[in-house]
Amino acid sequence: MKLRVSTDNRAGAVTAKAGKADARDSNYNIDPGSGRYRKVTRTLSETAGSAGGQITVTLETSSDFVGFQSANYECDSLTFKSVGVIKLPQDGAAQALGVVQDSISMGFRVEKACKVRLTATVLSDMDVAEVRLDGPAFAAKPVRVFDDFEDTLVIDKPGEYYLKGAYQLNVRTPNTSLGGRPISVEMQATLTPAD
Amino acid sequence: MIETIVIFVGKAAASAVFDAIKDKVLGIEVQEVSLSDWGKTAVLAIFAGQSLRPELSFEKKAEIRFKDLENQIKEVKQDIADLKADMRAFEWKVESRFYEEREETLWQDMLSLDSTLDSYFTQAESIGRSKAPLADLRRRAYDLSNSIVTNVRSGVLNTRTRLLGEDVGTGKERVRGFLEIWREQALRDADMGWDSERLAKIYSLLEAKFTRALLIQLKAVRLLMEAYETLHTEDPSERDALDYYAKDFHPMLKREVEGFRDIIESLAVNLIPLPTGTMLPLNVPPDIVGMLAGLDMFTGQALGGKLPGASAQTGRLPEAPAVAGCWGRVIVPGTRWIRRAPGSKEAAQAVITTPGGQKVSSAGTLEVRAVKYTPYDGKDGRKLHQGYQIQVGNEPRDMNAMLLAHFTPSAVLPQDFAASEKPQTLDLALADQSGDVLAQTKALVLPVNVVEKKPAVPYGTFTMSFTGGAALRGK
Repeated sequence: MKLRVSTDNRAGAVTAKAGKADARDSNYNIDPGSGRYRKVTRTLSETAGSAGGQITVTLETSSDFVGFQSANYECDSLTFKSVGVIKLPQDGAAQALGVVQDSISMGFRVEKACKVRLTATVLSDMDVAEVRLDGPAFAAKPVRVFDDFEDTLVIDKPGEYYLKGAYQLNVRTPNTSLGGRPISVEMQATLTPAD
Repeated sequence: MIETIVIFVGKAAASAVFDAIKDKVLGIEVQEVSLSDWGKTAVLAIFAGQSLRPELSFEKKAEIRFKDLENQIKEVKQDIADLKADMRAFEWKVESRFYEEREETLWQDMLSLDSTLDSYFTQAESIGRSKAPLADLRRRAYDLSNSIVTNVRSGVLNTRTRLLGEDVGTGKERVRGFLEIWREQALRDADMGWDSERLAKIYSLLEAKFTRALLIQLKAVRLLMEAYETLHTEDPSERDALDYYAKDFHPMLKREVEGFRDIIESLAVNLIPLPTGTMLPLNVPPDIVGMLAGLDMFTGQALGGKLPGASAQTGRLPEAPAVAGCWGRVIVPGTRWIRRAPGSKEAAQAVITTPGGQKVSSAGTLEVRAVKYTPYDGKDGRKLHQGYQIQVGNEPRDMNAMLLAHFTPSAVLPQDFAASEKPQTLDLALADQSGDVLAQTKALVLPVNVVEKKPAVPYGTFTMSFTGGAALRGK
């Protein structure tokens, strides 16, 4: 069985700012004109400041409609992995700003009842990241993953379904409530037909 | 900040509850006493199992034991009276007393129990003073012990219910206990405005109320231990005093002390100001840090915790935390912290760096709890204590609880830490059992006088908030 792709929304950004200097930004975004359903692999990294006041923000992301065929808009599976890291200034009094965010939404259309296998992992200091599977069959209770998940799910209602993953880390220093170590978040998921 | 913590911890260290467990009432040194040790102090049991021609020193021995008991109970009565005076001296700011009638009824029940206990102690003392033949005293001690077990055991159990409350009926209707009433009353009062002094007063009142109830219960437990020890001496197939303490009472005491801890943590979580913008830190005010530090000192004492020099002997008595250890909390807005969810409990360690650069590791337990907000309608109709929002994925999520990761030390700090007369601010890393650092912060280590006329012991405390880059704001 193949998945019939329907929507593609993938975007992410990083921002680093130290002291009064201008913020350094970079981002990625799927261009509706050409890049839809293509494999995306990006590493965005920005550093601001120097010495003890330096802040580094990194996003490594990849996502793929695996085996996508433009002729019939079908693929074999959906998969993504995203890692965001903010390395805080070593100087606890330094003024800095760091933001890393990623948002992935991969849609597919279901015409008749089927089964899918979802494996997902979220590794995060806090529950800021979420992998979820939305759609008519899960309207009452979306499948939401904050740790680990591996299961076969029954899709018993036709309609648009979305495999999503998203997080935002926002840091402004000085701030003692950051835990005193690099802040990181990682999420990955794979969805394959199980019929 | 430091001064506030010192005040809270100092007050908690002076609590009567530690003396009661270690010395005045129960004479229990957790993990430092054997059955025979406790049996040596038992009063009624001295008559049990005796031959009718006792050793010459027997009468003297009995007199000493009864005199000790009399003094101990007298001191506890004084402690209870002092606590009552403390409670009377406090004035609530909030006009209406929350569940006032229910609290009065509960206190009436406690005072009735206290009177019954005094009557039993009087009967025990009369046996001690009596010059009747030993066989007669032995029979009276046995009869009194049976009566105590029959009538006082329910008093101990009822005190637990009075403290913790109970769900009753098929609809889980709630019968409110002391702790629930105190929490609601204290929160409403604090919402009228609090500063360091006011919060300390509110906390002290709650601690006094709890200690007063606990001391009455401990008096009952002392009587029961006397009775069980006597019955056991007469018939070794009967349970003895320590068996009752370890299997029945200590688990109950632990639950009650945890209940008290829960209401103070609830008060703290409800009062911590929440960020008004998404990138602002979650700052815990010094007064709340101080209150939590005092709370840990108090609960450690109430469970008969360890001091430096405690033997590592394990026996029939339950494990106790280290009073002279480093306690602390990580306050986390969310439902999990580094893959830990409410209910998670694991061995962990606090690694403290001394001024000389030496790293001292202190073993303990890290337990994660969710502390719920308790919303209610304020006077102006505005809903108070509704919680906060955290950005999860692409959506703000309403949160009605704060996560608390609580480190309870099982190992005491080296006595060297109490060498400095002044409190020291030292680097602390909270790590899991394998040494992976979970969070780093500053701990305050200070010398505290826990036992009268004995050297001060070291006590460490830390409270940190952990937002870990999450976008968070109060609702």
